[in-house]
Amino acid sequence: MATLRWLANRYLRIDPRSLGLFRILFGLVLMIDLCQRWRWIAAFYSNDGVLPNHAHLFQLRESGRVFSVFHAFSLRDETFAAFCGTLAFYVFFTLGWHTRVFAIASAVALVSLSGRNLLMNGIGDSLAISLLLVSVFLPLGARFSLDSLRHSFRATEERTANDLNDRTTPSPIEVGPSLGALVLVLVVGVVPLAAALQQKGGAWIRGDALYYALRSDRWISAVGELVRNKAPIGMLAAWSKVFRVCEFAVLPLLLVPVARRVARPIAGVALGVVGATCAVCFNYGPYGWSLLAAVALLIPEETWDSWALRGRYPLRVVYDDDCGMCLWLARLLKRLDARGNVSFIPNGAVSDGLADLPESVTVEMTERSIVVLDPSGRPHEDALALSHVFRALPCGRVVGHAIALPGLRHIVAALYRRVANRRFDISVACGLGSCGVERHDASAPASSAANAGVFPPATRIHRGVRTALATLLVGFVFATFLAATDAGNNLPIRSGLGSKQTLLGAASYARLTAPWGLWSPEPALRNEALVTVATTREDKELDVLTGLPPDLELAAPRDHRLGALWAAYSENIRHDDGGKFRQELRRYLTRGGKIADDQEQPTSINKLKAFWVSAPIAAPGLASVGEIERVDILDSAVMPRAASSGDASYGRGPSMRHELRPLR
Amino acid sequence: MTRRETFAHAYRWFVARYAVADPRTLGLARIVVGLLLCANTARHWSVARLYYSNAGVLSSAELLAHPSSDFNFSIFTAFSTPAEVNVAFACALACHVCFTVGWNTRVFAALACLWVTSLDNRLVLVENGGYVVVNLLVLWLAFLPTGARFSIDAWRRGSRENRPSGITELDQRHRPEWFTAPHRSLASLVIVLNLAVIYIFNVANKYGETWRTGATIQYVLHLDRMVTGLAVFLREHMPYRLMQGAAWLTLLVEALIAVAIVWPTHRRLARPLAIVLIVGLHATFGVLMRLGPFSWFIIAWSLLLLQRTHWDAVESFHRRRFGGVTVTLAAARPFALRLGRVLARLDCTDSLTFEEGPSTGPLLEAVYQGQRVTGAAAYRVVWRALPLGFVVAPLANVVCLGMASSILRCVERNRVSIERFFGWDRPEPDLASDGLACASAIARSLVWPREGALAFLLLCSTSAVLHDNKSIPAALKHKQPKLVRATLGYLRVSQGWGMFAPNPVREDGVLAVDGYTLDGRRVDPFTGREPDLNLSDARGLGLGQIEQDYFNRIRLDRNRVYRKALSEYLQTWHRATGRPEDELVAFNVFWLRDRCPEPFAVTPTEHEQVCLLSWRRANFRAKTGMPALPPPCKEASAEQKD
Repeated sequence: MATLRWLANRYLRIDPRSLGLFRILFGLVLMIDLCQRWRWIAAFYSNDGVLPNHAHLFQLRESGRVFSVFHAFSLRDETFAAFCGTLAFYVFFTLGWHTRVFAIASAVALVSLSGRNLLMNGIGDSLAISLLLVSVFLPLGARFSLDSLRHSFRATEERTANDLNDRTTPSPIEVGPSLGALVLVLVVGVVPLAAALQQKGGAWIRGDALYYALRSDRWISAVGELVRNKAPIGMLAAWSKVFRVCEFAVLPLLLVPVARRVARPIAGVALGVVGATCAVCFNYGPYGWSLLAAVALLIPEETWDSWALRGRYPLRVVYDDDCGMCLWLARLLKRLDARGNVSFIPNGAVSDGLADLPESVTVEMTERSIVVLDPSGRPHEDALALSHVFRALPCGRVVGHAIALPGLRHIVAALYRRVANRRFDISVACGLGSCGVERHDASAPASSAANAGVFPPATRIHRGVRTALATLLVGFVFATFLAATDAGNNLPIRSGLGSKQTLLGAASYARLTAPWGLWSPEPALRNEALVTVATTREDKELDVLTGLPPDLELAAPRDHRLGALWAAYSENIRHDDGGKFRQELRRYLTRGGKIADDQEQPTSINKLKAFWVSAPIAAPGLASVGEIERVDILDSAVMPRAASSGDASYGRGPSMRHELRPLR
Repeated sequence: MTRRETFAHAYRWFVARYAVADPRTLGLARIVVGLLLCANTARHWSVARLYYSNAGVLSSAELLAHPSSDFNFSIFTAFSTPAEVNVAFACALACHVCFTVGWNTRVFAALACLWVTSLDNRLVLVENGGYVVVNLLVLWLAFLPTGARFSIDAWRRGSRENRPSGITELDQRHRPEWFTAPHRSLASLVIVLNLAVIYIFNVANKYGETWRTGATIQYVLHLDRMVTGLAVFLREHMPYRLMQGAAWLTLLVEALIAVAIVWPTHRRLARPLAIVLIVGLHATFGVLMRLGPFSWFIIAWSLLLLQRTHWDAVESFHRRRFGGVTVTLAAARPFALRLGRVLARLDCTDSLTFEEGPSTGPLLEAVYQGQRVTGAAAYRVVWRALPLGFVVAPLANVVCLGMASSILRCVERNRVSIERFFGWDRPEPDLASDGLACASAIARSLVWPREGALAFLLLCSTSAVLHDNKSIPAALKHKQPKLVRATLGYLRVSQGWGMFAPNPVREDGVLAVDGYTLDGRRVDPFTGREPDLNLSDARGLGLGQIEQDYFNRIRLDRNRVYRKALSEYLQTWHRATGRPEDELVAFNVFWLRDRCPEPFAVTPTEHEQVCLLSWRRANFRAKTGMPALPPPCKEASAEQKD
């Protein structure tokens, strides 16, 4: 039993603070990802884009097993509304408001974003979906969330300064052991390991992998381009080797049952190296950023506790105990003050002469404003008082110092005074009471819903059933993840689940394609890009994806950095698998592509061709470049052949009426 | 009195009469509408494979490629395969159940709105006035606090705010403002006004010759695609003169309803009169014709006419009839206290009073009409004193398989164990506070945005009333702005009211498929039987609303674009049956029509077969001994003649 408990403590628990931080970081990653998709909302998510919803659904009729709410949205305005809804889900998830509900809603939204066009799916989508699906079963809202705040407010209602100064109240949201914790850590570890196991190519052995990866214009970021141009080849070679070692190291380090104080931080650093490399230098959607967010999961309890002890900044805060809003803010401050820096004194005690305060603190002063006594015992009012309060809070030091800056201090002070003068009105408006919030006997304890001790049998059964159900579901999610990993990767070790159709079906619906083989067996040795050549009525040639003259020589790397969606889409559309989707791409391009909205003067396209341009990357230290290949994948003068059965009705619809039309 | 005071007085007079809704009325409406939504969803679910999935007559891809209007949104289009569509219907049903029981009512009211408009938009071909009524009713209800009474939300909120700590406190009932005060909002006005508009235009638009001569019922009862068996019986036995009277009576009743709804005085009588007339009229429609949700949702809508005075009268009657029960609960027993709390919360008519009994005595005893009753009889007396208890008590007995007394005895015997099991023997935590404490302030701040949205919807509805009704003079017709069209289109809330107006249809019709299977049989996939191409001898076709409306609309030229999907469905029909021999090698789709019998006649005339679709499998050779396939028929227009 003791061994089981020992193992459970090591593998089935993640500190709630780590989960809370992960939620915030991952929520931000999701929001950034959504903003990147928003840029291409018309191209990828509306019927004006590369794949109208009806055409996609028609293609899916036989294969099926793809679900996207975004298929229901046709027009740009409709899609815009759907994106706003998705953003709201992500924001609420990040803030931790009804966390589980919005985690599920966010998962559905992310799966839908990914399932709207199968050709633009990438490694980042799969990883983010995996993390989000497992996270649903974890108490992500137990800390640093509005939920935890609300629970805490409901569980303990402080009424006096004694209640406020009592820091013994336990966290109201209990976090027990959960299989989800282990699964989440395994997902974080398996993904880099699966990549490393497939990276067997010569470039990895020679240490040229990052050199080549950084020369693929479609996939790199602006920072990546800078690194490519400035970093010495030797440094890139070392980086490549460190990168692969880090990929290998994460999972074993996470599973080490002993010396976790050492192993976990090293695993965190290794994961950080992998994540930061992919996030900063490349553009693989949310892949790198998700890995970076997952580093938060590896912060052990001891580290959190040691952080909590740092930064002592003891303050005494004199608040107005007649004002409901002030009491409420004091309760809030108590909950934000994780380090226990703040002690509270009611201004009633000052007027009664019961408080041990410097003589400079007068009754008028405490009735006028919040008064804060800093660690040296000096009193502060208004903005400066707020500044000191912020300094005492975790992560509040910067804000605290900023508030104290001249100019800003005066603005904050003015705002503070406006609120302070109306504090009783605001209290009444919020239903918090004013002018004599009922004073309680100081000896009476604060009300607390927390029932110490053992739970009654009914509650235990209820919890047991809930836990069992969650365990089953999380087990199913993990089995789905493993099945998809088996099916989508060429790994030496297999779970044997890759042939289970039920799991593969679930993985397909969840868009868990698991293409973990990043740069495997080695990065592309050719720099490739989709380039369109549109001839306008004025006989001008331009690339309708960029609005610039066509770069058929791949001489301008910046022109080809269109983001992860276009990079994945163009990679897929050029292969035969994507051939059946080319008719819709052709329609999109002939309508003007990306520049259709940017042109002020109407112009017309007379002819359009799209090429897959491929240029060999010169080996490290060599300057010579081989011959550039250009494969004609689209020609507006030639209709593509029917791609599959039932093509007679494929792609019908209002948009089909316009083959070549003026560009706006 | 100054002009301002006059205006204020008039405003107060108007608001008190038309813009308030009793929470009990809203709660009742929520339950009834919720149950109807569940039934409506189940009705559509039963034909989901055929009408709402890719395996049916209109795939989502086909619908999205050819949307029925500029503003068409349906969440159902995201669900394609039959399995996915089943999931969608399950979600919709779950949502409606949550709305019905009043759990997170606001959220599920909004979601119910999304699901019903989506269901309508997914297959606009089968939309009729009933669907619009559903959309409108659910939309308006989403703006009203329907969860303030008779709901889980109200129960939870009440429990959070007040928890008697002793049996003697149970008599002090917790009745906060949200529980009792009438709700004042534009939504309360709009929802009643819209009901009146329906009847006003239902009368005004019926200016046709047929209504004047009173022949409407004669024609309507002979629409075989719509009528029920009862209507067939009536048309065969009812004298024409009676039908004439019934037609004029219908007009009169509709006019009376409109007047009774808006009548400003004697509302204690006028509103119930309107309810009775609506229930009578629409229950008749409902049992005679297959109109889908129309009749039942209008009846549900009429419940919103109930006012505080009616509820007070009902409560007073209930108190007199069943009240005066004194409940004796065992003192110092947590189980008894909890039972008392439940009874006190359910007893919204104040029919019960509570007193403490000995702690060693039974959990519950009752004193009724001077007699002390114990055991199961006591529970029965107490149940009867609760609202609808006289219905619930027998039902509960049935659910308990007649062993209610034994179960109660068992509970009494084991009450200590039960208390321990649920942890009731431990001290209770204090009442939870409001959490972040700003919820009420946020709710108050949302009142004006809500009223603004309602005002906009009212504007859109007014525009629709002027635009969609035939009796509105042309001078008042106008071009609707895009925003208004989009709002009305996405929400599917038109305001054209005129059932069988200005004249009823005189043409009956049905779709029939003459299909030839691989093994030489003739079959109509919609019936599974040999095709019946003669409509004149029909005595009601027994079609459901969805089928008959689909048939009636697919024949129209403007819906020709959807016939390809129908053809594809017929070509793959054998996959649905699972029998390869059912594969169709050829079919003709006909619109069979005839003219309803004229007054005093009983036989339809002008029977006609119009070919809508014809298909032959390429290179099919009939096996020897099998009859050769007939030549394909020539497709023609089946538009209505008059």
